[in-house]
Amino acid sequence: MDRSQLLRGTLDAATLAVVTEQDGYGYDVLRRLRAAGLSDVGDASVYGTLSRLYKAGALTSYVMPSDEGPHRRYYGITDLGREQLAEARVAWAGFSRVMTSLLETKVEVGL
Amino acid sequence: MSSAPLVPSEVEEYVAAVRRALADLPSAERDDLLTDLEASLLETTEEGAEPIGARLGAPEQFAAELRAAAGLHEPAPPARRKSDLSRRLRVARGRTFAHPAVTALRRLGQELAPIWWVLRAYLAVGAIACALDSAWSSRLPIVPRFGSAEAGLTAIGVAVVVSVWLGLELRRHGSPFPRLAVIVNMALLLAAIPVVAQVTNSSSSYQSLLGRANAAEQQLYSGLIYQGVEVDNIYPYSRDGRLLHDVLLYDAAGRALDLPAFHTLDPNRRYVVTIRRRMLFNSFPIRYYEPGTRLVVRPNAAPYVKVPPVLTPPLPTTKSK
Repeated sequence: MDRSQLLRGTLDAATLAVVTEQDGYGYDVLRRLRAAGLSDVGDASVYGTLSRLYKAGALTSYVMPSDEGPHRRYYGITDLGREQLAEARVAWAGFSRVMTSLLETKVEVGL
Repeated sequence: MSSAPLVPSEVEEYVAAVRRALADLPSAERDDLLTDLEASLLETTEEGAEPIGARLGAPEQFAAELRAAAGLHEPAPPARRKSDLSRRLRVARGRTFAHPAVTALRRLGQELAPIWWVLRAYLAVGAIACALDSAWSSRLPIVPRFGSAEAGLTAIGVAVVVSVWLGLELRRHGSPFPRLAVIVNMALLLAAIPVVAQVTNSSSSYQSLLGRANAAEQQLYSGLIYQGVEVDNIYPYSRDGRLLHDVLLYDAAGRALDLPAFHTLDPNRRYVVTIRRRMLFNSFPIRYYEPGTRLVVRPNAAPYVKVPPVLTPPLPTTKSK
């Protein structure tokens, strides 16, 4: 399975997790996701995800002037976003446990 | 001095291309997606020497990814054509509404709206009556009977009051659901079809009922009958055998023996008229003009009658009045 397919379902949670640490603007969030190991996450996917989470009320946003270029729009987490992230953590923990045990068994059988 | 940010044309072009690919989105939504794209792309180019297209892919592809991640639908070419058409329709509608004749018509419509308020109340009651398959008053064929015609009339009255009140309220405060108001009014307008059909039906059945009653009446009292046979003319003679003209006949109650009993005017009949221009239908014998003239060709025409010689002495003639 392609990593990008796996990523699609989990990018919301990853983005919320990054923004929870510290508010960030689009490119900043992208850079931190990549630095965390999601090296193949698409630029547009992250920008689109930020926009959608903002519209859904999971993120707030504010504009900060920048010395070098155009103003930057920063995103911060909301209570709703925190709730979603907590839910995602629980879901992910359960799901990854199941998947890990499933896939490990399969590997043993295959060997 | 100039604080305008310097955007490399490469980024500018890329953003413009993405914007074009998102042209079908509402402009607010598109701007929202693109506001900080330029800033982000600028940083992207600062970090690497590669051309932006090589790092991010084609702008169309970027736009599609952005759209998918933002949870927006792919543009459908027919939909785009439709939105183009709807935009043209909107423009045409705006132009039509701005036309002075249309403005005047709209104002007239607003002034006449109360008539519609009354009408729609009636239609609503009528539609309910049709739906419930209620009977309709036979004397007032436009009134449905809810148990009685009086209840039907009351229902119409209440509906009119409510409808006019509603119309005034909505005119004063504006409708909270303008689309719903249009739908309801259209539905009531459509309800006119069954209601009018019902009213015509019930009034024509009333008419035919009346017609039948008239026919029955006519049969009972039709003109003059002698030994079960209808008499269509009377020829009075004097005792010396002369045919009399314009003799007025009455019965014992003083009722004119009209012929026919129902006064259908025959253009060729010679009606005897009073000095007050009232037509008399009990004047005998009935005479007919030559068609198109005022001429009775044979005023003395009569069945062949031989009046026998009379022995009884004549009564003294009296003149009334």
